[in-house]
Amino acid sequence: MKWLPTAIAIAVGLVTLLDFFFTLPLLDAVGAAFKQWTIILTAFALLLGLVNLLQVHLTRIIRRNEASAGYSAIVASTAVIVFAIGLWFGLPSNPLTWIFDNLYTPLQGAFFALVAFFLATAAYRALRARSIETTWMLLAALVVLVGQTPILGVLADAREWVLNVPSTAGVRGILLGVALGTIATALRLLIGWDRPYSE
Amino acid sequence: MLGVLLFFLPIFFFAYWAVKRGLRLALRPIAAYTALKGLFARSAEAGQPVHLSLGTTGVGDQFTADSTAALNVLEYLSERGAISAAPPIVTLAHPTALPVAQDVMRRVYRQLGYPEEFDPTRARLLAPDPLNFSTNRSDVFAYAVGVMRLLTQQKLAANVMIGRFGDEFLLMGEPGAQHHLMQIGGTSAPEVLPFVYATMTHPLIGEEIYAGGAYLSGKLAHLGSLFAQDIMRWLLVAGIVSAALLRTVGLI
Repeated sequence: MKWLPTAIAIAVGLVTLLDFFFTLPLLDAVGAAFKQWTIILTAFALLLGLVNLLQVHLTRIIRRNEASAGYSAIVASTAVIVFAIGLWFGLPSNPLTWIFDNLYTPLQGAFFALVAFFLATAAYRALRARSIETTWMLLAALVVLVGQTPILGVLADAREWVLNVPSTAGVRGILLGVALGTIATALRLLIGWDRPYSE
Repeated sequence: MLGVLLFFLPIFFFAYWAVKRGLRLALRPIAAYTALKGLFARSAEAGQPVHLSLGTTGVGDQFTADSTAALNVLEYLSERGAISAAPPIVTLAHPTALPVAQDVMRRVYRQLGYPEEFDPTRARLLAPDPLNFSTNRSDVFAYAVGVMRLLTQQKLAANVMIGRFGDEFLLMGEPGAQHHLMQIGGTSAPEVLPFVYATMTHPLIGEEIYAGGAYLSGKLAHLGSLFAQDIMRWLLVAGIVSAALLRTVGLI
């Protein structure tokens, strides 16, 4: 029966693909059902994820010898409390909205503020002129940066050129390559040559 | 789109057939994959695991190909990790990737003959994206913070990040770079590539993430599909150049 998961995956993949390209009543109905099943499966996967999270952190708490046991206790208890509130009050509900608005969102803002500092250190590391490539990168970055300032408007045209010609060409090249890679990976999955889900 | 797919299909089968019949492909060296191959001697020697981030997407959405690319790397890392008794720590942000990642690792241990050694907690869902289930926006800050903590607190041989990422890539890559950790990573999102280049010691640019199966495991299907991609790329280049020339002389 090892062929069964592969057969199911190929069949579901083909039906979903055909549903994307063609409008037929039967295909539409089956495709819509598959999409609903995906949502249900994702919900079950989320429950598995919660079990996994508790398993990881409770193990750390039980062992006690790990330095992160305290943090694990906070993570595990927070997960259980939020899960319980969600189960009790449902979604969306005032308590959950309060948690997100007053705890999650401020924490998120605080952490994303770090991006500015990380950008500075990462840019310093990336733009050191160590080789010909990094020298070109440094020059392009300088042109774009200086070209944006109103005082040195002379570089505005050069900035436009850097953004519209070499940068856009590079991005399009990458996107074409990514599209080909995605198609190849999708075909391998559809044909059953790549089977991350079975033996 | 269907036309491209139908055009690609015969080339795909031809490339696979050619590789199966013994066509030898000269793969250009990619530093990131060469470094991945040498990673486990380092990991086993130091007794430190490798961290692998599978990205912020799962299986079943439009970024399944990126997750599959990451799973190919996971298969290789699990195999090497099982042999050297230093299994990787795998973190993910999408719940659908968890059972698949655990299954890949379980399968490797079973194939190697010691299924009892498999530890399901080596694959960890750090935090799911709370917005992903109701909107199209992505918000994986909690996951990024979890990875930041792992990279700064746990002694690791290397940090590998392959899959689909957004701006949070910088939040996760920069602490590793500041700790002089060996970092291998890549993504298909062009807007994230500057972060990849700035933080990774061995960056994988765009489509290079899909070549993992061919470079690491040398599977025929992966080598064939890589060959097919190259054929398609040359055809595309020829098409673009021809169209530009025809346009220049006013024929189209």
